[in-house]
Amino acid sequence: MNAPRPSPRATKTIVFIAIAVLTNSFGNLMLALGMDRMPAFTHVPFAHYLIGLLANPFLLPGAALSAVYTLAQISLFSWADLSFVIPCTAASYIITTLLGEFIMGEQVEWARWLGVVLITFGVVLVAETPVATKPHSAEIPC
Amino acid sequence: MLKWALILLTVFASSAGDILCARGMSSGGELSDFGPSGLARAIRYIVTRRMVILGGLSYAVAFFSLLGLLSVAQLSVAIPATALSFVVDTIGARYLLREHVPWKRWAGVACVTAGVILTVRSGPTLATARTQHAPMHAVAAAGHAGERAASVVLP
Repeated sequence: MNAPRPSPRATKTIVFIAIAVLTNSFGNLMLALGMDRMPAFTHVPFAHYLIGLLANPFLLPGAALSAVYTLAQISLFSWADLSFVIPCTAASYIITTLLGEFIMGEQVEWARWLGVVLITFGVVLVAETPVATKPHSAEIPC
Repeated sequence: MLKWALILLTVFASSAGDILCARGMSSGGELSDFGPSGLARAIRYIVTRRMVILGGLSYAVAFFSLLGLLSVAQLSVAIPATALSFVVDTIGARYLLREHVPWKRWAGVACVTAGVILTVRSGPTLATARTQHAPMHAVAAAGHAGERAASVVLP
């Protein structure tokens, strides 16, 4: 009994959703770590603040990860439904909560764990539906 | 009043961004070449599509509206409210993009929205708003900076 082989489009969808979820979560983690090290905005001259932003080891990589996240999500729209992609990429809230608990050392209360369970359940429900419900043009743009 | 106007603006601008980007990308072909040269072509294709550019502008409006919102509302109200854009996205996908949304997707979106509200309600530290490029620390810092600036300027 062999499991059916996933179609190339299904594989591509899983890979792109994984990229979007991970780059969004880790991008936000790096931006949060970077902003932790910044002085209060109103306490230093603007030019010093700007240099601080650019010299911060977390902020530029964090911004780059956020850019990858945006491009991955927009690429998904070229073959997958918006109503499929948006709930699936919400899995990043799960990773974000786990990172908050285990890397940032936040106390995660029970209501947030309940939220994580609900998101997981919701993503599983959406992932069981077809990736696209209307024909996308087959022409390859580039 | 201002708070609710900014919540609506944030939610609708964020969803409009998603819907415009999805419309822009689904009306072209399916991206499939992600090799070294294909990737560069794909990025050029994305950033030059008119609908995607409009979507990006809409994301920018959502971001600044969220900044404004954070200067007039508490994080525990402002951030969960942005989860409403999951619902607005799905309604837009159904009625503007003419997607067929099966009941499992509606149920899944309802679970995800409730889950996101529970997840972001209590802690601003790492929680992400449903708005692109809105790391909460930066947003909260800017929001508080705005609040402080306002308290200096206003009597």
